[in-house]
Amino acid sequence: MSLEEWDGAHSLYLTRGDEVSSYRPWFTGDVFEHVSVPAIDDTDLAIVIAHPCSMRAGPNLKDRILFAAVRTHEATPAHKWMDGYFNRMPLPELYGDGAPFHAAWLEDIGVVRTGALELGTRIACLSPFGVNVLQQRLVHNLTRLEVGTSKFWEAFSRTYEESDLLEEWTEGLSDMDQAPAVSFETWIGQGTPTRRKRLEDAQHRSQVRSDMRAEIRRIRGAI
Amino acid sequence: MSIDLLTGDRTRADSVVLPVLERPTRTSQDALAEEAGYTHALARGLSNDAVVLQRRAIAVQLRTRTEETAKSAVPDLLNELAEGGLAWRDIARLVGVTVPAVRKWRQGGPSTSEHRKSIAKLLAFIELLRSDHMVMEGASWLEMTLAESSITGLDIYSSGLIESLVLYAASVLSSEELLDEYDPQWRNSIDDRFEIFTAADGHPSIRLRGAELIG
Repeated sequence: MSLEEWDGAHSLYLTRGDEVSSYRPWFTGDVFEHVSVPAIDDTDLAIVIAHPCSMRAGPNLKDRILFAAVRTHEATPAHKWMDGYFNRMPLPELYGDGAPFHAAWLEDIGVVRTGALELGTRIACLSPFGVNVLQQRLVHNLTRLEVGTSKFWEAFSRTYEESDLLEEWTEGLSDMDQAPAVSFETWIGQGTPTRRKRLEDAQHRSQVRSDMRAEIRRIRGAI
Repeated sequence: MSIDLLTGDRTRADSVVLPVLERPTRTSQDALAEEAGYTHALARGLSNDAVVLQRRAIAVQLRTRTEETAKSAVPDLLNELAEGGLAWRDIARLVGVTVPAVRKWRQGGPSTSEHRKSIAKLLAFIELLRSDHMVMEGASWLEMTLAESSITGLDIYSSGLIESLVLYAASVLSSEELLDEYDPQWRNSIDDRFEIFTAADGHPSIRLRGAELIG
């Protein structure tokens, strides 16, 4: 088995540049400008490599999050990353179509205080596939264990779904809710099993989404 | 009566007698087997023709419903898809655009006629599943994995095999046949070395299959 190949830069990113939504919660694979990994002096670009489950305590971000340094990189075709460059994560066209190639160095890692993130600028969010590729390469770099990207999706897609829902909740209610992350945490923790638990099963996700959208409409209609 | 084939030559052995081969008669079970085989081949041919015809019918059905559905405004079409529970990310993927593009359309931004048609086609597809094939929750159905693979209906739809997906909903194609159309090598991509489990901290984790049996 080789590491995963990708089909064009667009497959790795959810959003880049101006498309990055401020409503989207910070997540694994987010790339920031003006954020430096401690002891790394040659770049102020960094990518979140912390696991989604370990970034937060309830609705709040933890004080410190694990990052990897990002630098420019020679443009290298996708197939060469399958059996090489094991200590890096490719970030082609990071600044948009046609922009220079970048990569995250998975050995240049460290914790960054979340306060520093507020001074930085988020310039890219990875797609679910991009996050899976990042996790695959990180695990392989640290342990030389090869795990298919679909396995990461199977295990952790619930966290991605929840992040999508929180983004939609925030976008839908931020003009009338001072703490949407808190109200969302309450809502998603309701029910038996909880809505959060139901997200673990792919066949229940669409119902949770429908319910959330109905709840947003209800809240907006009631106020 | 024996037939001495070895005559007229001093080297031949006169004592060698070859057996008489009597012509075999055709039994009733052989005839029945032959007729059954012929009928089966005929039925298979007809079945294949029926599937081809059904594909064409589905394509016409989808085209007609898409044209009707496309009369609605794009934001209304997107809202209807959202009420069905599809993720915006998946809608973007199935329509062939980025998530930001869908966000702009939701906010009333302009879309091309091709994109409008793609959105309408997706909604028409989900409506067709419900009205003709009893798939009442299309979004959920599309998100389920097929057979033992990690491939979902979303993957199949985005690859363009939409008529085949309807045939699967109609139980004309099995999940394995559908996957064979999508990727003949799909079985090779199954990685069953690992399993997902809930760790002691309550979070999902990955381990080697059977690891829990090791003390």
